[in-house]
Formats: sequence, structure tokens, C-alpha cells
Amino acid sequence: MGLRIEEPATETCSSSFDALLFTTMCMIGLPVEVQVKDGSVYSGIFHTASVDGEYGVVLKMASMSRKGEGNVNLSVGTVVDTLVVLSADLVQVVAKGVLIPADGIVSNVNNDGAKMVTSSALPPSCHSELQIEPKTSKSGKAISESSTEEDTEQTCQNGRLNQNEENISVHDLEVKDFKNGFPAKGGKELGLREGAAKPMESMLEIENGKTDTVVMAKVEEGSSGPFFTDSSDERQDGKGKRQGGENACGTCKDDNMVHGAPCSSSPTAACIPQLNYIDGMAVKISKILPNGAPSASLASTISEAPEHEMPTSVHSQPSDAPTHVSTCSTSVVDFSLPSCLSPLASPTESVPSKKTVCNTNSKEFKLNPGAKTFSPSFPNLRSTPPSVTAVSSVGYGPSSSPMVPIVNAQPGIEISHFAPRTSVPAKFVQYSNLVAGNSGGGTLYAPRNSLPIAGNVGSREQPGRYSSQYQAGSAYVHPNSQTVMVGRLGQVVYVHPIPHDAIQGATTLSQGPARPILAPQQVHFPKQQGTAAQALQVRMTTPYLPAGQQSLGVPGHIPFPQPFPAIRPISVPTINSVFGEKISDESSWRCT
Amino acid sequence: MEGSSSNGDDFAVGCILSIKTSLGDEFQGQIVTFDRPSNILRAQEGPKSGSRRNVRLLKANYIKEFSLLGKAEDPLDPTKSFLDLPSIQAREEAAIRQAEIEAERFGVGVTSEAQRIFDALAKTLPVRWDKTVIVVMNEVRVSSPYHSENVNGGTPAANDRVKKVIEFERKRLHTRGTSQ
Repeated sequence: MGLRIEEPATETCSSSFDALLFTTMCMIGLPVEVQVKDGSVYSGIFHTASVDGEYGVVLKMASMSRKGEGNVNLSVGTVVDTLVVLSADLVQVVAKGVLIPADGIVSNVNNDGAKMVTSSALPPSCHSELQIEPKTSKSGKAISESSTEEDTEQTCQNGRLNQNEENISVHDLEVKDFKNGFPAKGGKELGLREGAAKPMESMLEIENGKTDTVVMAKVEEGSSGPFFTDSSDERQDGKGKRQGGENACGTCKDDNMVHGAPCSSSPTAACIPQLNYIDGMAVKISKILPNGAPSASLASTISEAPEHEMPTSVHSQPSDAPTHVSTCSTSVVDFSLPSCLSPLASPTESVPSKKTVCNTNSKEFKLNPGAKTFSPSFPNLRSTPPSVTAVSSVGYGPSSSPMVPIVNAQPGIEISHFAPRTSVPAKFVQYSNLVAGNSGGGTLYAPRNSLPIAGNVGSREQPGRYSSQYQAGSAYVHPNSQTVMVGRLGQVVYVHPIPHDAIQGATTLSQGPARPILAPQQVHFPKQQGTAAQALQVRMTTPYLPAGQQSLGVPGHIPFPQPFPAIRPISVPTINSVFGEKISDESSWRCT
Repeated sequence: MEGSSSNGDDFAVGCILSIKTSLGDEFQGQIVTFDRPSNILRAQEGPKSGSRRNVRLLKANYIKEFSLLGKAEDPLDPTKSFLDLPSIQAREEAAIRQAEIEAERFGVGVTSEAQRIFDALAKTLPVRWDKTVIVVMNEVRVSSPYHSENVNGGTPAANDRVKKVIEFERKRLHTRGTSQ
């Protein structure tokens, strides 16, 4: 949003004036030091200046940094809200660290302007201006219709061309209007004010959309502004006043009151007389300076510009842009600014669209939050044998078992996870008690300390988590799926084998650190082996990997004698309650 | 040189001058513009390559003497001059806001010692001035002459802490004064 100063006329006076005006505006808002003729130095924030013949400045939050020879009723360090230094008293103004736009920020400004102008909503605003401006020219003002249309056409063309190359923004048109005594500007202003003066109902009609309320608020704010009120009153009072309103900027220029908004009528009228009124005194300090009000009002009007811009950006309907522009620009000096910003609507609209996408994704996984995480591995898991999905692979091979997603998604739930599993073989039904036992242990086998488990294995109870490694005399090997029934001490334990995939998957996760730890804790159960001559090695581990995921790797390729002499299905002691507590712990347990 | 502009001789834009003012200042700068109606000479100081420079607006009738140091091109290109009005407005508002914040830190009608104590307290505690009374954490009040025994109000812990800070700061000021 750059305001490009038009190349001044050939006259040296106007060139120097423009240069002085430009440099003065570059100093606005910067800390300056002002030296007056008595030698006193005041520091403050450069607020505004009067270049009407003589150069006077106004500082905000000023304080005397050096006391001069004159008697000033102001102590060093005392901060005053507004300090007016008249031209007669001014010696010099020193501003440090002034960034001349032509030196450094030209490109940035141009880019900003380009961004705003290149938005897609500009052409509609241009059309709207085209519709409005002829009305204003017909109203009898000193508006050159051709020039107005030319300006608008330029604006539209710039909008179509995205104004990137020429760096021409709407402000260029503003400046041109400024040079021409603000004819087109006044026309625009008039038209815009007409739009702003419409009843709220009409505004609502125009602004059809959900954001009507917001727009109304903004409109009211704009109407509450002094500049807006004054201008609208002038416009409504008649042609003469309207003419005055149009010439407000011209008056401003005549007065040469420089501020962030050089074409504000009311602040100019308020400021300049004040400066003249206190002429003759060395330094005028006023905390209740009338200037403060107009300046503040001006500041408010200018500062309201972004607020007004917001609704324009909010509205997505291109047809809304002109109305907004008209409403907003009335209170702002540079009223094409909102029109220039109106294209912001389209980039703003894109944001909700992105949010919609995100919401859609979140809705997709709302029912099953874990599905999204594990869905990529599901096709591979489907390839595993159905028997594998039964019980034992749940806790051991989380990455390769279809049960894994459920376990990982809801680790706190135990047996219920297996209920929906339809892939459990029919034979598994008869070992329903084992299912329960294994479900509690297999799925959630996570004993923090595996030593008690090893003791149980050797002594009396079969905790049901014993995998195919436990070869007992009455062990039963599932013919198809290598499901193993392991029994010891006269009891039979059904142990579901773990497929190689599951084991590999498990070992892949913790093979490295687990192997050396498991080695010294191998336990042999030669007496518990049945007809099988091969010894089983149960490797139980101490609470290693306390923070890691618990895993129990059980190879399923151990030969078992067939048939079993007697199969006595036993009910594994319900250790669910025991392991239920241990489930929460995340230690690692491996049995191979 | 006072009133030099009245004789019709304008300052050449782009000239690098060394200027002495009637108030004793002396500086070197490049003339950017000279506005005859207002008799304001605008010069910029600092390196030419730098983006930020010191700008000086000087009334020409306060120029005591000047000497020409060189001649350069017009530093201000109107075709490249842009003004970002919203940023200017925002800059001013931010500057005023910051100035107000800083202004609240200065006590009016207090001694420099009181101000130093205030600054020391402000390093660690939220403080503000209530005329000449330092208010810490909105509950502990330190009145003149700002000794530890002048600390009133607040919880015992806060009161003790303020007292400690004051004692420490006074000790530090004392040692600094004696060392000088």
C-alpha cells in the first residue's frame, strides 16, 4: 500500500515543497529533537507539521532535554502530551534514523501494494467505482468525467495486470487526484459517502451474507467518526456544502497541513488555526490542546481504516466490495485505500477453505481415531493367517498382527478387544477360557518384572502366556496353524503360536538390546517336555527396557509331538487382574 | 549567514555542506531540499549507502556559516518516493505507546536517588509511581526518603523483599559514591 508521490511539476517551488512534504511525512512517528531559538531542546515523537508558509511542528510525548536561556515553565524531563513549536521559534528539527522510502523500502511497499491489488476482487470494485463515479460527475461537481473514468480504468487495468510491473497502485490515482484538486477523489468520496449514508437496511440488503452484522458494526463505527459525520453532513446538506466537502482535501493542501492523512478536512481546520492562534509565544505546550482532538480524530479515522478494511476482507462476495469500500473510505483520507484492500477478500476466503479440509479429515477419523494411524499397515496384516490373529500375537508382534491396531489404540482394554475378532478359528472356541486368559496376558502382557513369571512357569501355574516354547508332555500342536497346547504338571495350557512374521516384527523392534540381556536368564524345562526331544528355552528377562514397549517374541516353528496323549483343557488362572495392573507398565518382556 | 535565503540564493540540492548554526551546532550534510517559503533547509547526514540517515530540518536564517564540501546528485528521487500511510500511522501509535510506558517510569518531582531506587526495584518487581511514592506490586508503598524504614504495607514477605532491595540498592549507591 504505497503512496507514490507524483513527480512534481517543473516549478522549483512545488518541487521543494513536495520534497519537504515528503520528508516531513517520513519523520512522522519518529523520535526527533527540536531546538528552539532560546536554545532549548525538546525531544518527542514527531506528530505533524504545518508547512503553510512557515514550518511549525507538533510533538507528542515531548520533554525538554536541554534547557535554554529562555524562561520556560517546563522542567527538564517533564513529559507533555503535545508540544507545539511554532515556526517563529523553530530553529531545527533533527530526526535520527529516518528511513527514506526511496532508499530502502520501495520494493517492500510495492510488493505490499501489489499483493493487495493483485487480489481477484479488484475488478468488481473497479466496476463499482465506474458505476459510482459517473453519478458524482453528474452531480455537478468540478469533476472531469473523462479523467475520472480514465483513472478508474487505470485502476481496473492495474487490477487486471496485477500491478506488479509498473508498481502502480490505487494511491497513484489518489495522488493524481490530489494534484487535480481532488476532483475524482471528491467524486469518489461523494459516491462512497452516498453509499455510506444509505440506511442500514439497505446496507443489509446489499451485504447479504452472514457477515452483515459485522459490516453494520463497522459502518456504525465509520459513521461515528468525526470525519465521516462531517463529510456526510456536508454531502447531505446540499451542493454547496458538498462542494466544500469535496474541497476539503484541497483546503488541506492549501493549508499545507501535513499528517499521515494530508487530505483530512476537519483536522486541518482545527490544527491550523491553533497554530496561528498561539503564534508569538516561544513554545506552546498544551495537554488539553484542541489540536489533540482533531489530531486524535484524524488518527482515529486513519487508524480505523484497517478496521474498515477488515469487513471488506471478510466479505467474500465481490459485489459487496464496492459498498464496503464506500463505507470505509469515507473516514479515511486515502479512500481508495479500502478499495484497494477490498481484494483481500479472496485470500481471506481461502483460509476457511483450508480449515474445512482439516475439519473433514478430523471427521473422518472421529469414530476411530486410531484407524488413521494404522490403516497403512492393514493390507499387509490381512495377509497373515487368520489363526495368527487369534490371541498370542497380539502382545508380541504389535507391528504385524491385526490385533495391534486395537491394542495400540486402546491399550487399557483387555479382553473385549478380541471379541470382535471374527477370524478366530472355530477350534479356538473350545479354549474359550484360554482365550480369556491369553487375552489378558497375551494382549496386554506387560509385566514389569518377568521373574515372577518364570517362577510360575517352573513351579505350578501356567499363566497362560506361555507360548509354544513350553513343550509339555501333553502339549498339543495345532495341525494347521501351529497352535500349541502346552501342559505341565498335569495341566494343559493352550498356547497360541506366534507366526514368524509376528516374531520378526517383534524382534525388529527390540532385537538388538534384548538379546544380550535375555541370554543370561535362560531357563530350561527338560522335565516338562513331552515326547519332544528338543529342549525348550525360555528366556525371561528382568525389567529391562523399562520405557520401551513390552514384547514377547515366541518362535512358532518348534516341533511338538503329535498326538497328545490326553488333552485336558485347563482354565488358566485368571491372572488378568494381576496383569491388568502390570499392563499399564511399559516394560519389556520377551520369551523366545 | 542568517537570512541567507532572503537574498535569493537557494541552496543547491545535492551539495554537501558543512554548516554551523548560530546556536553553536555544526554538522555536515547533503542538501536534500530547500523550501523557500518556509525557509527550511533539509539536509541529511550519515553515509550515503546506509538506508537510515539522520535528517535535519534547519531554518536557513539560523545558519551562521557553511562551506561547500562537495557536490552530488539529488538524493531524493520523486519517482521512487513512496509513503506507506498505514505503517506511518502504526509507527506513530507504537512510538507514542512506548513513550507513554517509558514516561510512567519517571517520577515527577523526585530526586535522582529515588529514581535510581525505583529503577532498581523495577528490575525485579512491578513498580509504579504514585506521585512521589513508589508502589511495589500495588501493595507495598515506599515513601520519601525511600529508606527501608519507609516501606509500608503489603504482605510481610513482599515488605521484606522490598526492604532488602532498597537496602541493597542504597548500599550499592553508597559504594559507588564513595568510589567516585
